[in-house]
Amino acid sequence: MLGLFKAAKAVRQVKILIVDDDTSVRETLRDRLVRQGWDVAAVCDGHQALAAAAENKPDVVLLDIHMPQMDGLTALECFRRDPDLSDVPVMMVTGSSQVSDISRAASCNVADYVTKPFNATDLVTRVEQVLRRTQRSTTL
Amino acid sequence: MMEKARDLMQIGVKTIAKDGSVYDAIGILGKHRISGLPVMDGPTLVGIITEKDILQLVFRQEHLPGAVEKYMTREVVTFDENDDIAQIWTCFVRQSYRRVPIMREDRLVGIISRTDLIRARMRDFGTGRPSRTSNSAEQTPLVRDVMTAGLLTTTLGAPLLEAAETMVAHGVTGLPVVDDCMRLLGILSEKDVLRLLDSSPSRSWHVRDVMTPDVVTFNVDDDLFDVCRCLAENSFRRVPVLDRGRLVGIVSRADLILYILKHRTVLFRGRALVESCVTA
Repeated sequence: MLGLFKAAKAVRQVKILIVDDDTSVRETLRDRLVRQGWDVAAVCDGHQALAAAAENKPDVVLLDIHMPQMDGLTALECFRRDPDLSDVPVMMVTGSSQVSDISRAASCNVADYVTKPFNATDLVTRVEQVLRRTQRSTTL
Repeated sequence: MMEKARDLMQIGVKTIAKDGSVYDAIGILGKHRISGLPVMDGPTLVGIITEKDILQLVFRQEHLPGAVEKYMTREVVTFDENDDIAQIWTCFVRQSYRRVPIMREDRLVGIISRTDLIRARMRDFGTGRPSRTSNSAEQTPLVRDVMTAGLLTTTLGAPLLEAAETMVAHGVTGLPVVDDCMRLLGILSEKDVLRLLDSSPSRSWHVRDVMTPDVVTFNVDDDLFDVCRCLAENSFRRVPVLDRGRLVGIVSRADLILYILKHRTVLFRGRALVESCVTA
């Protein structure tokens, strides 16, 4: 019976949302994450990130800071204020290593803070760690 | 499956526009603790400017008018994101490059540096590190097996410009600072020199004013694995080697890459990647 139950349980594809105004980073990272078997969407500013997340809630958001229209830290604060999106794990992936940016992100319960340039394989490992932490806390 | 450049490259690399100034380039290199910057004309890679280029420039002339375009290296060897890592290893070893830009069609999408290659091989070390045995011909290599002896050195009281001239003339990126008994007092790196030249250059500066005094060192009998890990995880490019407190050599990232390639069968038995390096 247990085996049947397991077989019947659908395996949901992990959904990642990339938010970066740099086309090269967006595309290269998307290709790498798709190879991981994940469902990946990519947008180029904070406004688009909030709209995309509201439409299809991601398991993890990879969020740049310096972007036109709405920057990443403002977008992060909007995520935290939105009752539907407040629990979405957000990882900052940014060229900024300024203490003010790091502390502002930390105050919004950011899941991780990765500085550019970064190795995509290392990033995948860190996303997996965030996913494991999230799944564990959901189970608990 | 053979590793590709895209598996190893750094994404989101710092760049500079071709009309940026050399001083902008120095600022970016220093702030982000990197040693080379791709120079861009819009989305197109047109050259590269490195710490070494800038050091040579600032040494030769007092002012550096104009844009980086004027000083950059135009002929840059690039690789495609789908190229095998083995090709890049060969290129690094034969051409002594520090980094190569990685392209997708005509667009820059990443960079692979010596550090990236070492870090990747460290993962192999981590999963297949050989154990040391007293009578095995394949025992774990020691620092003494790979270090370069017969070093150029400088002293605390040496004029900075003289030391910088030695670095430029001999094509080295750092000089150990020693006393009369070869006790290590610090290291003078390209970065130290650049940092000073960026602020208030003066002919009265001495090595003691700029050098990095706190230096990570290894002993001749330390495990090479520990040096690999140290150079892969930190931003410095070389570590001095001591024997009974005296400086006797240095191990650089380049030394490690060469050694790893030469002794690939011992270090990475059965690993297809390294074997293919040899045949490439």
